Amino acid sequence: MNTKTQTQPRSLLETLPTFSATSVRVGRRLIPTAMVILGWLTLRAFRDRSAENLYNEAFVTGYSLAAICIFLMLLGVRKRVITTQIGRLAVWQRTHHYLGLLSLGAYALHAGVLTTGWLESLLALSFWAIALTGLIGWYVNRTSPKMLAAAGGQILRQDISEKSKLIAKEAYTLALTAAGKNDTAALADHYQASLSTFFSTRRGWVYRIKPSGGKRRKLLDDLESIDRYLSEEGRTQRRAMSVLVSSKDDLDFQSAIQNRIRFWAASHTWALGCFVVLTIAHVIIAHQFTSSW
Amino acid sequence: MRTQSSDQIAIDRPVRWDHPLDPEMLQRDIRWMLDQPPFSEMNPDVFPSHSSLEDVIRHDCRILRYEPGDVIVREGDYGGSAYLVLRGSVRAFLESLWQPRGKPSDLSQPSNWMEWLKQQFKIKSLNRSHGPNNRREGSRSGPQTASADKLRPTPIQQVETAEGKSRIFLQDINAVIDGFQSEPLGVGEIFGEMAAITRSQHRYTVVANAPAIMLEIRWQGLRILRRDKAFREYLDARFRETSLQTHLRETPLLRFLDDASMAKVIAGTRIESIGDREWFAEYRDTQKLDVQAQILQEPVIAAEGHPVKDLILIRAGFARLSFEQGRGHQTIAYLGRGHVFGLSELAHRFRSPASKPLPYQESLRALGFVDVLKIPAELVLSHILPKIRSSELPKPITNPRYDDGGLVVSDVLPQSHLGNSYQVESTLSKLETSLVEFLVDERLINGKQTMMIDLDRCTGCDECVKACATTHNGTPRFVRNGPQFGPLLFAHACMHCTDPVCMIGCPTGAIARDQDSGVISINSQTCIGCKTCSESCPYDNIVMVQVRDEKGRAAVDRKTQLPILQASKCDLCHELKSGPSCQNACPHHALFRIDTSDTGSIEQWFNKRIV
Repeated sequence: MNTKTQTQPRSLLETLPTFSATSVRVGRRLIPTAMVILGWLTLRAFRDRSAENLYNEAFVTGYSLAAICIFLMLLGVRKRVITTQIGRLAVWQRTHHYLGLLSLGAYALHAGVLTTGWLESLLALSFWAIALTGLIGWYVNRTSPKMLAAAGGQILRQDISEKSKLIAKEAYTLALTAAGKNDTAALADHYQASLSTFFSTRRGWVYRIKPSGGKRRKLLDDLESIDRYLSEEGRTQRRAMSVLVSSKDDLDFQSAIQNRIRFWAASHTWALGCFVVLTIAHVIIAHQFTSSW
Repeated sequence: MRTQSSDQIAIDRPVRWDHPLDPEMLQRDIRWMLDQPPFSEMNPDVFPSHSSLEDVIRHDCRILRYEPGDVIVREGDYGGSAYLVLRGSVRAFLESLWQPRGKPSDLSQPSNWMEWLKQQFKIKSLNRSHGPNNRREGSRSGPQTASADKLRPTPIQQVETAEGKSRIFLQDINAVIDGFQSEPLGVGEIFGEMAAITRSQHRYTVVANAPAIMLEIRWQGLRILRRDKAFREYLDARFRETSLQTHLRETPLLRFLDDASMAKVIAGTRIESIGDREWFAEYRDTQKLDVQAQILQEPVIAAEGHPVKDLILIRAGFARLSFEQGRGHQTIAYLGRGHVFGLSELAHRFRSPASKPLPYQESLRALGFVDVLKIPAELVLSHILPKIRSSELPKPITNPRYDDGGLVVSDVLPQSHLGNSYQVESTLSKLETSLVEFLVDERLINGKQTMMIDLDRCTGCDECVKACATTHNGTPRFVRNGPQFGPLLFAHACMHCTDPVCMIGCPTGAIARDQDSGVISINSQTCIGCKTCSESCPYDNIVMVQVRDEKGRAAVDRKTQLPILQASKCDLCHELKSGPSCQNACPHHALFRIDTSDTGSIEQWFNKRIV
């Protein structure tokens, strides 16, 4: 007979205390930073000791760097493994950031800042590309949520195109209505001259790389300046058009920011691909042309 | 099944009762049961031809056999069925037989590491002194119950019996019967219907004390049987009687009452149901109205400025606590099961018997459906308040909003009465009024596992959606969008509600609540795609998706060629040990599950929030 009790005591993990906000803040930054520094100092001491004992210190630092890089790449594996209990992705991501910092130190110990030879230079270039895309990605992830929240809250990326079309249609209908009367026709003319392209096309590359509010301000100012040619009814329509301009600009902003997040994440992955291939080549060559460990 | 084309497969459209509760039910048993009360007393003409009485017994019932000591329903488990005693006898334990599972009362959440280490020591010493099967309940953080010092029985789960079924039993049933207050239930009596009707937890435990045969009637069948007037009236009367007694006995406010006083309170208390159990339809209509118009449409349980005639105990559902502010109403809090309204005013009267009594200082309005118990003021003053410690009484009303004539006192600060209701004080937190109003207006107060996304952290990377899709065969079960309050997004994901109205109309019982975890999930084997649940969900958190086979082919009806749909919703990834995959996959700590039915949980989250 297979029996078991129902009233089990809580597991150790379940009873772990929760941190206060302040202690979490301190713990989250100081402890891992201290561990990174400690890790780097240990690696440096190990390298020096190896050199003193006439070992090949390049292998020590090289394989340490390789080990760190493998740990860094495990984040990608974790993202794809969802159904097993291997910790929350947020914890993995945070560990990835600090190990990334350690990898910079390990790289400096292994190769120095400047390298010679075309293969080493390519390898160094791919390493710096990963580091750079990673740092930019980290910065973008830190700053984007507030920028997105400021531009109309959560808008799903896949909905942006559809919503833009709806806004463009609404603006066109408004302009068409304005065109029917003399005292509102100025709005229709202005739409034709300055706004139809804004509503119907995507923003340029410059905006997509570095979105700003310059164009929005200009369009809104220009719209406001035609008030003198409009009746009261026309001004009401103009205000509605201004709202549509702001909404379209918010969507463009959302699109630019959300694409930027994805672009830097993808760049990090591409750079990683190049780095892995070059590293394998580098390891093979190093073993071929080095006489001892 | 027959393959129609490479991307489609034609199947028979699933229909109700494809999967009876007991596929092995014999015609002989059905005939026998039709001759037994209450079925023999029912009028067969009230049942439609497509759901005859015989059909209900055949498809929505099953016969279960129990040995002495077998637990039939357990306090705290979510119920979906009623049980009719066919043979033998069982006992209902009104007293709690054991502590709520997973929450040992003497092991509250530690606030620091030292406390945690102390607790670990405490756990070890508890285990050493009593052993796993004889643990005594320690000091309770909440109110003491009369049975706190009794040796509690340990339920044993026999995972596999000779018949291949699992059973839970108490080893020495006679000792348990001697030690705990229980009531016998004999042949022809029904129990468990209260939890099934209200889609809530059982409030008592029922154990067989002799060999017994039960008829389990699942909620879908019970709903059809209620068409019979006499049976409906019997159930309603029983529901009122049982729920009244059970709720009063477990109300901490009444724990010091002796048996005679308790009997008087039970006799004098009225149970009232306000609003419609199927409130979602009305809510959809009123949601379109202006907020103040919505509030005015909510049924008033007690109006501010009116004399206090009763102490109001909320048994089920939610109510809005508000007061008039300018031309509208300001919401102070929402009250749920276990909360009490009107105690401050009565305590004021009790403390100063010479002065004129104060009227209700706030209004209480039903949000959807609410069950309340009303204890007359005289009973409270004579039997309840004298037995409560003065330290446990609410704070005196020093600055009433309404004077003893029911007139507004003009210079009262808007929130001077926060915390006047017993048990609300601790949960009435420092949450912004606007957030409380938002939660009430959007009815998010119903959520037990509400998905909340912190927009100060979310980058919109969609890792959560991808993780959900990966876990559920490529179809995500939530939408990363929904009502927003400041930087908080309440996503369209099933909230596993306190009152899951989606379950009301399901004809097959495919959408059901796990009796242990409370997770509401849809059984794809029995869902017939009738859309009842998705149309009932007031939050649009259930969507209809096309059925696909393991090769990804879409299922279509063999006869009509129309797509076969099934309801789809978040199931909290209850089959994964790691918990909800969306939450685990968020790289920015932006996605949380939170109990929005409890303001304390929200406040706790805000206190921990680090941006």
